[in-house]
Amino acid sequence: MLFELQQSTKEIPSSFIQVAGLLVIFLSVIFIFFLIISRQRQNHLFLQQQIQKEAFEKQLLQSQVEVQESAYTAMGKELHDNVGQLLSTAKMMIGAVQSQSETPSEALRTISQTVGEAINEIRTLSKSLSKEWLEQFNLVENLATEVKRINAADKIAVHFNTVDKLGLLANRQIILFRIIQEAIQNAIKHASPNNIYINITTSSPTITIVVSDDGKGFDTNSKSNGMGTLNMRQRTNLLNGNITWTSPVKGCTVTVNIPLLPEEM
Amino acid sequence: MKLYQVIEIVALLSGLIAYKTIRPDFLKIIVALLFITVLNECLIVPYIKKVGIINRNYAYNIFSLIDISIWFFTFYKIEAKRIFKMVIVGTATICLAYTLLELTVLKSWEQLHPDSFRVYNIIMVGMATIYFYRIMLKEYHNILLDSLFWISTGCFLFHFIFFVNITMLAEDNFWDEKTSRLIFNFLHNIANILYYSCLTIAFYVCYLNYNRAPKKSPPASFR
Repeated sequence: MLFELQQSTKEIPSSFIQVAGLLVIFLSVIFIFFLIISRQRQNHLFLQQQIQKEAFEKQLLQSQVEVQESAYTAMGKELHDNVGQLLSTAKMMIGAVQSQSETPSEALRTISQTVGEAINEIRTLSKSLSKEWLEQFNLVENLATEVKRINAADKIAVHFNTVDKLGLLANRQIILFRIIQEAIQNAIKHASPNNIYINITTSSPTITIVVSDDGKGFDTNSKSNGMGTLNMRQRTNLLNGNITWTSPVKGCTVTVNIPLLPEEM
Repeated sequence: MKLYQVIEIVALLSGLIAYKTIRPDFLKIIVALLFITVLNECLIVPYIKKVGIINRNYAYNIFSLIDISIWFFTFYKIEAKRIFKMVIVGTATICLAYTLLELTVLKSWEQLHPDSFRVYNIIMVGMATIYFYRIMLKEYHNILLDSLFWISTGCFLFHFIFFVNITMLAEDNFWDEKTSRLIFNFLHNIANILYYSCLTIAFYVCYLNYNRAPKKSPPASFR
């Protein structure tokens, strides 16, 4: 380029200038080489930091989930041992009053019946909050119990459709159960639906859970998403899955995709 | 055909093959520059030499003005910061003005312009170094898949070696050496090999990046 090469002479070049010329080339090439090496090393370091950061965040999430599970267990225990006991005592006293009176009033009988129902409700609730209890059953059975509990109130109809066996590890089942539980609770609390549909399908290597309702829906772009959705997102991350909310006009659909681990397939 | 002409043609061909895939778009001007280079060095200069009507330095000088303008334009486009863009405009004006001054007043169009070309060499090394500095500041940057890096590397190596070469050429003592021409040619050849190789790599990287990038736009939910 620019300057045309001239015909070279056949004489042997002087070593000093030849070395100087070569040194210039060597230095400039070395500079570029070190630039590349240094940049690649910086990239490698950055990627390592990212991996460490992700691992740390995952650990942090795991701890949060464990703390929450312990809190749930404590709450369940408290409900069973404390409130449950108080209600049992109350029912027993109502029974004593009923036996003392020759003609027990209708109101007293209704009170006794209601307290009995409350005792049953608390027992079921405390069971669903207990991690030990959850570990004994699979996700499908736990969800079926939960659905039964909600349907028993006769206010909202929950339709549950699932495959027989999921194959998820027990600790992962609990996390997934909490996600679905939160989705149901959100629908009940905020959407006032008549129906809730839970659909679980597996298409190896992924499990897809869809929780939809026919309630009033919500703005999925709204920044004011509460702790519930944040928890659901964090728990899904913990399972290496993804979660999406869609709410076209009416109703809301929560879709959770969880990839199965090699040992779960 | 000489070695540097072969490498020039290889770089031009790779540029033409990868033309559609060259990103950012302003880099396509380098293919045009390579076309002018090949035209000048493989056709115009040999023709002038053969016919011998005018001095062949006319062709070299006109070409060097085109070369300077295109490279300043390219680095102007590469730089994102307004301050650097202004510095490039300033240095480009000074460099072109000094080249024209050297060609018209200080020397003539029949002579080469080594002094202003050395100024151009220094500016090019500076602009390439600024680009290197910028990519080193980034948190993550895949240098090997960056076409602008390879272009800057080509410019850096060529102009750094060429600056030393022309400076040696300007030294009277250098010409005392019987073998000075051989050394000049040797360094010049190396500079050309590195320069055109880097441009070829840059085009290859463009081609590679284009074929790696997803062709379809992602669904709305991913945007």
